[in-house]
Amino acid sequence: MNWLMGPLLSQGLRALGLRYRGYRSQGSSVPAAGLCCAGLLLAWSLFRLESPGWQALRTRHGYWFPHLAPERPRSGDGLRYLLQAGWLLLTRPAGQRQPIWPARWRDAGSRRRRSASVADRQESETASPSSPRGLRRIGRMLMVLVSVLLALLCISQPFDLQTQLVFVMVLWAMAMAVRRLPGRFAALLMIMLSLLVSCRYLWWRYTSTLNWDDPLSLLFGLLLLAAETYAWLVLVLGYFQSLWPLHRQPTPLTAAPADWPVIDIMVPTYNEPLSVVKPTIYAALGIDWPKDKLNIYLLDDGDRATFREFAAEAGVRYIARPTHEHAKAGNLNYALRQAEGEFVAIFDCDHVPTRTFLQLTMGWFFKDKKLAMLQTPHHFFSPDPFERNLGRFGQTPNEGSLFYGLLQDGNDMWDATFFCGSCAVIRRSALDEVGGIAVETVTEDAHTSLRLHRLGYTSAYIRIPQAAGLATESLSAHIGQRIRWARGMVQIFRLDNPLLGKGLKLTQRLCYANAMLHFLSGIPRLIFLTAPLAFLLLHAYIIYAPALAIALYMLPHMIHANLANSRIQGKYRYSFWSEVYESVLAWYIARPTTVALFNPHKGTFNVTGKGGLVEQAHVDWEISRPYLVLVLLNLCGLIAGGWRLAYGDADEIPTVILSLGWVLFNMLILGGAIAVAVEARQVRQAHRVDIALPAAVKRADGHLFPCTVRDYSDGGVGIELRQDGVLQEGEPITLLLKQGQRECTFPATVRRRVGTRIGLQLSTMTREQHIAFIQCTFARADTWARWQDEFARDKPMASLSDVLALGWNGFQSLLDYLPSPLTRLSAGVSRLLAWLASFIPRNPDQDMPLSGPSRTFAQP
Amino acid sequence: MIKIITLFILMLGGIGARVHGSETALAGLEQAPTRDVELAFGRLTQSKGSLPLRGSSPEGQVEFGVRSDEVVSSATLNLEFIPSPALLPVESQVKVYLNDEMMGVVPIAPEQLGNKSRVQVPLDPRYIGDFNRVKLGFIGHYQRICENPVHSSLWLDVASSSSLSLRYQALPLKNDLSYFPEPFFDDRDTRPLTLPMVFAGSPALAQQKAAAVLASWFGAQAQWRGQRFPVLFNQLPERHGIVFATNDQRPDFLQDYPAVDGPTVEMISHPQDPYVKLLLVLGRDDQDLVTAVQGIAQGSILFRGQSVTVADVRPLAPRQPYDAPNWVRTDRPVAFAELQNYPGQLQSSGMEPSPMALTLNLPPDLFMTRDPGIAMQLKYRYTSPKTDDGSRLVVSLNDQLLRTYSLKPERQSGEKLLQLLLLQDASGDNQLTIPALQLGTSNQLRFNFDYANAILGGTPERCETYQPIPNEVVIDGDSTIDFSGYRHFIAMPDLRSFANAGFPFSRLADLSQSLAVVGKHPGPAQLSALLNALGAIGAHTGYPALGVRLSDDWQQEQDRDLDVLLIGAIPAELRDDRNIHLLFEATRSWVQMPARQASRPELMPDSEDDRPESEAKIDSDGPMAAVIGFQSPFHEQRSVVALLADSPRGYQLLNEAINDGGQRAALSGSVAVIRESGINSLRVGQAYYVGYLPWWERIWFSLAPHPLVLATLTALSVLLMVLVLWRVLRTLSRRRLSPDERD
Repeated sequence: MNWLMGPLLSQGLRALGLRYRGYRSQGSSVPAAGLCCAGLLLAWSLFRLESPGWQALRTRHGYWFPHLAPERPRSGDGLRYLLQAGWLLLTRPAGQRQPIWPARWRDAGSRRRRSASVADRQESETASPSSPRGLRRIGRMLMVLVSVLLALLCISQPFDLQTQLVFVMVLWAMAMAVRRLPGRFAALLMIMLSLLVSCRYLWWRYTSTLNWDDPLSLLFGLLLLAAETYAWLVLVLGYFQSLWPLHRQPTPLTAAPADWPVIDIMVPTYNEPLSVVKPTIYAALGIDWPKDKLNIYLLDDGDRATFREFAAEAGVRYIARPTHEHAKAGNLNYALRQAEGEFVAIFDCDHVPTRTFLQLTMGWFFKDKKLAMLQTPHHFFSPDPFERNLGRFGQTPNEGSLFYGLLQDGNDMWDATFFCGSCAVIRRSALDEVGGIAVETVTEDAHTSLRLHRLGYTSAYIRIPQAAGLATESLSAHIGQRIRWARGMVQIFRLDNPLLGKGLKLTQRLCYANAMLHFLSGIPRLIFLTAPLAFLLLHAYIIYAPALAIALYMLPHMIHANLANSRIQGKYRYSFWSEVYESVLAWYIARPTTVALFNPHKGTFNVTGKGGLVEQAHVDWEISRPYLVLVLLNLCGLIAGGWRLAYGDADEIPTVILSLGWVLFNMLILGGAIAVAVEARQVRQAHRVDIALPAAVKRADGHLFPCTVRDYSDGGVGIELRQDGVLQEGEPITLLLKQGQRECTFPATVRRRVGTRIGLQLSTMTREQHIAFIQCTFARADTWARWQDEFARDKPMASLSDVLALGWNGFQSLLDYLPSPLTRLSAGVSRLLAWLASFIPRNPDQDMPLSGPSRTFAQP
Repeated sequence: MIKIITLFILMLGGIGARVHGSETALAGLEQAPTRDVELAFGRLTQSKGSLPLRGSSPEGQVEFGVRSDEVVSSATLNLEFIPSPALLPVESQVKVYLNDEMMGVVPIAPEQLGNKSRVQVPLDPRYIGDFNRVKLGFIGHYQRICENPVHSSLWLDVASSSSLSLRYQALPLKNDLSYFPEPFFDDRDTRPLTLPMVFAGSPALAQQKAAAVLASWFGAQAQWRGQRFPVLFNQLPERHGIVFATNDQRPDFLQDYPAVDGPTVEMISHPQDPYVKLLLVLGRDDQDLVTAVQGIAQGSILFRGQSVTVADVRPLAPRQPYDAPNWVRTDRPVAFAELQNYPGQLQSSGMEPSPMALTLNLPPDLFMTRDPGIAMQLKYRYTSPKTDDGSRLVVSLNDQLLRTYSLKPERQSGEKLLQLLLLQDASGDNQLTIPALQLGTSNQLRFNFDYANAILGGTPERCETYQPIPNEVVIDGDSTIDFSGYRHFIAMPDLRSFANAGFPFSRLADLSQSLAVVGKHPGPAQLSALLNALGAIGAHTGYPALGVRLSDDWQQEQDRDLDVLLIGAIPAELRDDRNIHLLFEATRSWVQMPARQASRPELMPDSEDDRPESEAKIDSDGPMAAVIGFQSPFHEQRSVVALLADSPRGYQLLNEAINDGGQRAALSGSVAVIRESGINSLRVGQAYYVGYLPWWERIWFSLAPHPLVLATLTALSVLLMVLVLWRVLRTLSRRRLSPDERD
């Protein structure tokens, strides 16, 4: 090593000496010149200063560091460079990256880098010990080591209350300072800060808050600690998953169309009505792909004659299997044996694909020969039970947004995108290698992708919705679906644990583990919902520390986690909504996941029901029963807390107040869960989709009027005319829509008219017309592109008050459905509260939409 | 109650035996030496002061013991008191009991009301036994009808100058070792133990060691009484004493004593005074003396007859650090029952039950700074008050309030988990803040049940009075306090911990990691200093210094890993040591002064303040002694404590400082100068740390008061990590998006 380094060192020293003398001759003081040389040495050992990116930066030194003269350093210049660099890193908007690293973000750059890095690698293999690359790696390791040691110190340092207060306030100020700064660097800072604070909290919990003297307190304390550890683990893994969402873009199909592969599109169905399946098949027929290379299969596990006839009419293949084992997975596997395409695209029977689906996705299969599965988001154009029952469709991101918007994208970074059962393309050869779709668990999709990953195949995710479908229409169905997912994921966890077994990279293991752990949240959530009761009712000290200390450790942990999450996932899920989502599911997934954890083979497959109706608004008492029990328990806790405040030990009052606050929060979250269980009326069979689409209407007299389609459903269209009064209600007209270059006409009747907004009902369409309508609307390439754009930025405090108000509304509507004089009382109380709330001053808010998107009345 | 019964039974037995014995003795020996003693109440009462009697607590008592080699031949109670001027004469009176036998009544005369009065009550010596109690019962009345028995005008203050005049008469004793350590040490004698040790001449090291071990053993017996070991060379003592003699080397008065053939312990009468006894520690050589002393220390329970021979003493298991019998256990929670010194210590009764106290002796090097508190599980039972009247239990530590708990009428017992807070109580409840309360070496935990006694008095028309019922309160012996799990770490030099606990020598109770360096051919004063020092350490640990090593040559012991107790003078080799901040030689003395005197010696050392700032040299002929502590020059974990004196008077000053509790309290810091005027302590020079504190705890300790520094470090760590992470992730994501770059 020494003799290798020798010449290099002497050369370097000479250069350094020259530089030093240069500085001195320009009039720098001795310490300034010395410091600058030392700093250069350090920078050289940490960064690749000779790379084009750094070179570019150095040539434009005067632009980026206008206040610093490189030829005549002053003694504080190191700090000045650091501050200016930090400032640039944090404040420079994403779009202005190119000037600094011109090569990095362009295609040409990636080509250069490819060749360069290959060369680099060869070089480093031959002369690794002496190359600055090795030194740099050591430098980086040292940096990591130092920062990890510092972090460990910050986590474990014990403080008394005042110093802890100062400490957490400083950290909080840091988080608040970087919160609004753009770019991934700031997001990473937030994540790291949150991690540190949460680790510190957990460390404190483990080392100084357990009361070993009292068995009752110890029991409840350990339960809570276990739940908190779980939450911490999920938090950490969640951060890991969403550390760097990949934002993969479609890549062009490089081969000539003649060389494009044969693709089988499979639409499995079991008991869904034909009206649900029809649009899917019609849209599939319109997918842009050579017709001779595209086979569409309708896989009917219900073995229904109407479906067989429909398939024959539509010209798609119909497969019904003689036996019905393994549900959807079995259905697909049976069909796979008869299909021969190189790729298979799978759509649930209600997922209407857009015409560009294959064109946007297939490119990556050409580019990456190891790519086995490419997933696109599941997009729903109907409100899910949360959105419908809470009246929040289009106002807050729905429950799935987080997963498809962020987590899958983040998984893609780690090559751990899961197959989600629909809207995905799979390479047939790889699928055959793992023995088809997995049948051992009830979540065949995730299990299949796990097996693909184990064989070393890669996966990809393109975050552009290329299909849309119906959300589950009732809460019970939604819960049923989640129970299935939860049970399935836990089954995989038991039968084919991603943490163990061969073939996976550590990062993949972590991503899978998080996906599975996520579904074990039932019991921890129930513990959080009842933990303060252990103190209020049973007088067990669950966290054995003064109330103030609990507040000083727990609040920063929660605040930082919320700030960081708001920063990284705020676009996809507003703060505190997870509490509601998880609380609703907690009770229902607690049992099946526990059972599956101990006996993974127990339990059956249930099909997610779709396309049904809710005839009348009602409270789903059966669903909300566990929450009512929890609410009653918490109510007891409130009463006990009041009693403790009045008659209890005076020393405990802060603890009681803290517990009461916790109970109130839990109550409101439970109220939210109850609010979700109040099923709103849902009568419209076909769901409207909002859009802005140029079109025209032709009156019976032949006049053509240009118009804009504002929304549409499978049976109706809402349009907006440029002028008022040209159409009358009940008037038969023809609607003209464009599909690419083709123009299609659809007979319709004017149903409603409000100013320039017209509601049309489509007349019964022929099959061809129906296909054309679907392809002009649902299957348009840009239909779902606006997805995610309409949501305002997350505001944690506003979101919190939203969620709390939701909880309050839940209780209110609960009382509304109770046949008792309580109704009047509750109405009075809430009127009073609303009146009081109306006095609270508020800021005018530009970010929030003034109201939900206004709609015309497309009535089928 | 139990206490009273036990005492009573003890006394009955004692009196019976004693009365019988003394009568026969008195018949034959009229010329037996006597001494007259005046025992002032100021020393006898629990509060070490006057004895106030009130309507609510009408009884007061004093206790005294009588040595087994003496008998009281006459006794008088000299009462000095001031009665309340509101009392009704004659109806108000004071009853005097001796051991529950009525000795007389003092009626309150009209002219005594409000005036200081003196009354003599003769006590019948026949009722005086080993342990005795003089009880005063106050019967006070201030009006004839409808009297409130706890009225505030019902009081009578017995002054602390009241006394018991006792004439003790010596008893001739048989030379029987089965009573050992009586008469050399008698636990009924509350005076400091004074035990002369007699040698033929300046003793050799082994003989000094024998004396030192014996001194520490007697120190362990004497406990809080204090102990003094004057040394005589070839001279008869005037009181009970110990004589060390080998077959070759004997004091003149033992010249014709037969030679012994092994380690022997024998009790003989003083050749000139049969009432004075001598304990002979005999052997063929010096080593035999050590064995004999070990026999006394470990086997005195088997002693009987006039003479015993120690055949063999073998240690079976080595002592563990910090296991001194007088110290609270630090390996597990300790039950209060283990800490109590006498039965009945944890219970009390009366209208206003007297406070209950527990003494906790802790190793001085327990590192408890920054700890949230010490867990104490407190269980107590009490007579429930009739209403929720604010009666409460007050828990205090070293006379500083810790917590109060109200006594609820509907319950009769309580159970509290209490954190003995060492730092500011920030939980904010009850407005209770404790100013940086710290546990010292010897601590008193006190429980006081304060009852708000409601007395129904009625009105003059319709008068109802009630007999007040005494309240009974008990602290359960199962209550625990937990000092386990603390590290041992202390900043040295700390003369306070040497003075209060014999630290660092007492870390091993048998002093097996200690070396005492004495001068060659020590004189009696110097030897006495050694014996007093070891006696004091023995009193702290409660265990004899069986393992102590003695040497008179500092040079030879350099490579031994031991704490060093230097007696006499600093060895010449150390005179240039920069860590020794006080030196004197003949009439010249040097001292270094710190930049700033430590205002609170118990706080952690501050290196800035303690930095030596000046050095002064003074010449004088006056006597002076000094105690200095410094780090051992040979082992950084070891300490040296030097007891220095320049003259016989200097040694005398030194011995007084070591023995006297009051003077000892003034020893602290690293240098203590003892002059005729008293003790002055300084803390000067760099502190060094003894004990084990892992490096991470040291970091925690040093960073704990600096949240901003830590926040900066956090920011730095986060920034560094994110910088690396950002670069790595960017590379990874680029690699992810160009798959053919992969192999």
